[in-house]
Amino acid sequence: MNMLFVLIIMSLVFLAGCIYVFFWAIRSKQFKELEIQGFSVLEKDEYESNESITKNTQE
Amino acid sequence: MSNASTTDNYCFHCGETLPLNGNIFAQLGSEAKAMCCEGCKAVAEYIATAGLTEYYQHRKDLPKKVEPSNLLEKATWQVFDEISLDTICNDKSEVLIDIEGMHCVSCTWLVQNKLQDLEELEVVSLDHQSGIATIRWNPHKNSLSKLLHTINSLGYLPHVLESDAEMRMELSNKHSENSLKRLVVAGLGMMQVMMFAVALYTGNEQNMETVYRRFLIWVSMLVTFPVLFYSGMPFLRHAIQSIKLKRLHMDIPIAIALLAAFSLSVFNSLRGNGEVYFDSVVMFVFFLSISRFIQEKVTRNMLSSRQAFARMLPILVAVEEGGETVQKPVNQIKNGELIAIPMGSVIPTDGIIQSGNSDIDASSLSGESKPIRLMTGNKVYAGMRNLGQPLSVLCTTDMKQSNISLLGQRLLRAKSVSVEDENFITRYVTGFVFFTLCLALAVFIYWFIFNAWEKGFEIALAILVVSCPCALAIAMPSSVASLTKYLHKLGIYVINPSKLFKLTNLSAVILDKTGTLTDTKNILKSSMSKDDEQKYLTYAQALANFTQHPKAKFLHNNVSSIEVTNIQEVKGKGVSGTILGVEYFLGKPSYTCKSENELATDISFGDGQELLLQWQGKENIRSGAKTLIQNLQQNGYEVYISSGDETQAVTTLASSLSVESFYSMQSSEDKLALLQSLQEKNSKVLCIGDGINDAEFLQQADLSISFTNASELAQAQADILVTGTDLSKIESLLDSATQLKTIYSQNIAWAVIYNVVMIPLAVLGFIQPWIAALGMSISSLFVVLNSLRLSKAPSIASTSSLKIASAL
Repeated sequence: MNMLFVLIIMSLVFLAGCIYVFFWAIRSKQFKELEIQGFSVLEKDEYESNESITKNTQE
Repeated sequence: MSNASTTDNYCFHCGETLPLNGNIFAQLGSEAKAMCCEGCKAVAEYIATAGLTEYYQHRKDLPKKVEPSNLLEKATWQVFDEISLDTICNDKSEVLIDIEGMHCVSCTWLVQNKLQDLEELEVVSLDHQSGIATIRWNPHKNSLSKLLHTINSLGYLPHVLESDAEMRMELSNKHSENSLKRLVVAGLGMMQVMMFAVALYTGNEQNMETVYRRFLIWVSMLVTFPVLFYSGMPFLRHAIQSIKLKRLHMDIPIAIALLAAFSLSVFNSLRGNGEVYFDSVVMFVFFLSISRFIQEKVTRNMLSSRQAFARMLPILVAVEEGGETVQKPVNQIKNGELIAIPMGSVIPTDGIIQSGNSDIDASSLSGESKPIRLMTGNKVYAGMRNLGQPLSVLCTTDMKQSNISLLGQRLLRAKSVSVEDENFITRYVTGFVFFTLCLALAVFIYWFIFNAWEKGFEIALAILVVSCPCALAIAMPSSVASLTKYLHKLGIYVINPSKLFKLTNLSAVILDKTGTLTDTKNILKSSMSKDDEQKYLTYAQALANFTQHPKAKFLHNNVSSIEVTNIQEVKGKGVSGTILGVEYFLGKPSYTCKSENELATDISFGDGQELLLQWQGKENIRSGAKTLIQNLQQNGYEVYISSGDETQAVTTLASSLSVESFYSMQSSEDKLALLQSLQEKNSKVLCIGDGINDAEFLQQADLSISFTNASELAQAQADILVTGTDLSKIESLLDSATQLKTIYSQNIAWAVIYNVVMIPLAVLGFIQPWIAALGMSISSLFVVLNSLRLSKAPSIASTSSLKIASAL
């Protein structure tokens, strides 16, 4: 049963970790605009491929 | 252009109908897409070269059509580099930019991604609801003009805002960030402590060893500490503040209950004997935090007065300096400078016309429906629009000291004063708080006398927690929030939700005339057969497409298959072009035909000899105005019309709408005086208006409504904005008030019944503190759920999303 002491303290450390992660997420504005977050994963198209296309069409 | 997509008739960028003879295509990657105009084409190609075409796949809303005149050359922006900006830290400058046209999430994605290409630049915040961006960058690497040009090239109009500490505070939104953090700590902490509490309760029955018991109690205390003193801090702070101000606030019993329960629990765990209430404390803090968090979310401001000014005035103004014309940012205009006002432009400051004469539209300033003719020597005021000839104006004030700037400053000041709200609920809650405090104290003293202070304490604690006036306090905000959501679906935007509740007890309505009850339409007048009329009308429309003159705008029609050649625009007269071999003219009567018809507001179409068509501006009663007024009168509202227009026009309108009380030739001050005289008679007044001269009375009204196409200043002051021109939306708004009242009374009834039942039970000692905390939160939950019924609206498929679907 003495394991209980270790486990509970571990759970508290884990709790502190969770709170830290949450705070980090809030600070990096992930909760500010929930809709924008969906967009943030969209990457830009390959820059070069686009430029080459424009060049091709100009030629 | 073999693979050009011409399958549908909408502009790929803005979704407007394409001109039939249009052959504008933008090269987006490997595809060519049809565009409605050069402006949209330029923007679409810019987006494509930046590699951001994904914008088109993911956007939910269409942007406005990009007028080519709104895309400025890079060199034009350079005048902004001379503005001195504060350097924040490490050589970084910061600027606030109001991005006009940025109104959805995909817009912000576009702006953010493009700006990130610039070196050493950080987008600190970008908010599509307010449209304001905070940008920090290194001025040695980049210039402000480059920044503005980039935003402009994406099709948005950037206005540099004067930033001050107050504005930055508003934007940083630190507040809501903190309350979210508090909520997280309270929630996670509560889960832990509840878990230990379950172990303790079951342990009590199965004779848990003391060492484990004490350990669990100590761990609970450890977790409760941050929950109470971090998450619960706002309640404790409020309580202290209101004690200092000698006012009873509902946070006082909360704070007393929390602190008393916590200190007794700490005391008991130190001496290793007696009850602990950590579970009740964390539960209480968590439920309180969650209801406060929801309340905070409800209040939000959209367009500030400052933005309203920025959007109304032109970005750049041509100033004549020693024979040369220099472009200057509008807020740099100084007293004594000579400025040029082109046709269609808004006058940025007060001044005197130095040369030229022109038709001036002052309707938003004075409410006068007809343009007025002003000439050399006449005074002009900021906010007037020049409809005709270019003017040269000598400024008599700095831009920041002009009449409307001062009005704006007045409005800004008044707003900060009128924040104080006094509704009867707050007063009721105060009385209730006093009652529960006395009751808890009396019960405690009673048991203390009988030598059972621990029992007395537990009961007193239960009374304080169970009677928490949260349900009462959120009855109003939650129902208002939910109605706000419903109205949003109808196209009614509630800007100031805290005032929405006033809907339920209005007694009088003051309406503006021009732009509110009426709008101006150009009525076609001709003396020929219908077929000919139709033929010439299409010719006139084809010709009108080639001019940007504001007076010809109503004729603009993108679907025109008629080929016009030999187009010539003569400044101040009109436009001419050849259609099917015949030369036609559109513009002033003296230009289009040989007649001597000199009506300034007229626009005519002719072949140089004969007058074929002419239009006359005529004031029209807006659709729904009549039924709105009838309904208002039937429902017992006193209806007033207050207009800046001349007596004749107002009288005609009032009689056709059968309104008996009307006032004409009213200045901004007169309108305000009318409102105040009604308010002195204890009327609750709804004001509806759209002009700059309505701004002040809109702000002072008990509730005010404006329109999304109203002057920006009026919009910034209104509590509610209605989209479109249909006045019937105001009726549905007033209808929803009845529903709001019902739901609200139910909420209050529930809160009262709950307290009447629970408090006696608590006094008799039937309720333990943790049950009290649960009961309190269930009663709040009931109120929130009941309020949610208000937001259930028939889901209207938004027309804009349909438009997108067909455009893509």
